[in-house]
Amino acid sequence: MTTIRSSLRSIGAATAMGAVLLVGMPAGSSAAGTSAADEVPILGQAFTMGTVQSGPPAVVTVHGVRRVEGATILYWSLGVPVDSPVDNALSLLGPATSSFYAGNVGPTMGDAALTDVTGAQVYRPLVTTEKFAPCACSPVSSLLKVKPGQASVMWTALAPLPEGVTTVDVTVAEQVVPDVTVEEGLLLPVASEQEPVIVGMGWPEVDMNLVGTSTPQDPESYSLVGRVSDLERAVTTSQGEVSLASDVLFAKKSATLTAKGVATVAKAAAQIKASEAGTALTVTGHADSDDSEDYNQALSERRAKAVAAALTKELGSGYSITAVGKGETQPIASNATAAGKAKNRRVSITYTQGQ
Amino acid sequence: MAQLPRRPRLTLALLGVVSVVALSSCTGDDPEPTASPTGSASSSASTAPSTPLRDQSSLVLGTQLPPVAGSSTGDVAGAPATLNVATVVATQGGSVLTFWHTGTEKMLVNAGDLSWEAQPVLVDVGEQKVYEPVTFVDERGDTRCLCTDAAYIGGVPQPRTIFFPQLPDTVTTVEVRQAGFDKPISVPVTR
Repeated sequence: MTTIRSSLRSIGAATAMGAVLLVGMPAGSSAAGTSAADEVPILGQAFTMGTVQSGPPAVVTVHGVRRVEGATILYWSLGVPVDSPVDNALSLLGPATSSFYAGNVGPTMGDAALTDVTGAQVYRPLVTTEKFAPCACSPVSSLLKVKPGQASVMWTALAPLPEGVTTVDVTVAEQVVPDVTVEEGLLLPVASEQEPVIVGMGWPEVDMNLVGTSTPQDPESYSLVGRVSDLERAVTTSQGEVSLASDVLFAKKSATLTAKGVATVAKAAAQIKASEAGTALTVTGHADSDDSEDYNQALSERRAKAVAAALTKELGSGYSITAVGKGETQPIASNATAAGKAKNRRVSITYTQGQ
Repeated sequence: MAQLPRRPRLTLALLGVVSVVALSSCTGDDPEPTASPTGSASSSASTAPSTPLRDQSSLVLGTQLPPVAGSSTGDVAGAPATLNVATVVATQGGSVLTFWHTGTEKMLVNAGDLSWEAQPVLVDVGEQKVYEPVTFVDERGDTRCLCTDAAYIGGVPQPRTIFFPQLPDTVTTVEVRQAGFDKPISVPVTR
């Protein structure tokens, strides 16, 4: 029987790891005497259930985000709890995650992805040219043989990260694991048993031939948008944009600003002035997918002009304001739900930071 | 995305665990296979361990689902449910919400990443600001959020996570609100 004693201590920056579990020390040894080579890094954890409807959730652990030539390798494990009813660890990955193995590499949320918050980009997995290798990653068989009480380590190759990126948020198994330090090189030693690779028994062998012939997707990353709004959701700000809810600005099918709409435009104008964001503005009207495309196009143009006129009045001279309409062609949410349609009915004001 | 200087922190919540656990083990009877230090590692790869390898699954499986910090009853996807919020963790440049729905009906609630407008939001009551899930537009033109796609309600908790914009350092508590659930859930922000 193995017993484990644990204690918490700080770690020096020289290790460049957010978190590690130090293992394999003989009884009575001090933590300070442990070789860094004996570490099993645990850089963040989350839980996931996938398609399983009962039993405890699986444990997702990120062990490494490592730079190699032409790629970034994510090492992560899926742990099946001792009392889990599953006989197949793949069941613990969800619909989106399963698509990973079917070649529909993402991200959709379940596929692996690396988020650089500073650069506002989420980096996607590599794609392969191999007919029988839908992704540059561990084979699905590495999960089929995992038993309850075991955690299996897998790897996934993603697009190379820019040089300056030192920390990423990892998305894997439909969960977000934040603040993972990016390091150099593959993890060693390679485990003698590869299907599955049990945590502590070494690391999966990354198929560098497959990685070398794989390529980033087009695009290799997606740009992230973070939105912050007021309580009424009338004015929403994001990178380089102030968006106004049409339901607050106008009556249904109207392009005449309501009194509340005028006040909302004034509020947006105050934000634009305060931010010193720029003097060249584009006001764009958007519609949901109700009514015809032509009707929506015309309505969006008229609404954009109405907001542009009010903005001009609020901002005064010195601003160049252009009004355009995009109709229903640029939705930001689903048109299948009322909530999504409400998001799509908007007038956006875009500008260039620092202009 | 909001950008602030990065800062070291110690977070012992489930997500964003940033700690070092020094473990000492006595002799055990686990099999100790020999490592195969070959493979395709780059020259900068980590060095091999000096001690025998052994199954350490229990180390990662020992973590626990965080307790529920607050709940609200209502309905999700047309089914009666309870919204349970576990943690809101401030990360380097963002925020992560961990939550789950429970209910009496065993039902898959999906399309999470494709319906950011229906997901929970974080509300800074003091500044009267609403933080919405971070999104991106995929190659098909669909707007997706960094949100868990699907989970069952009914039965054991099926955790979900959502990535949000960064909360100001001064925000110590937020309300989690979701359409369909009348009562906001106030939870501390873990930093």
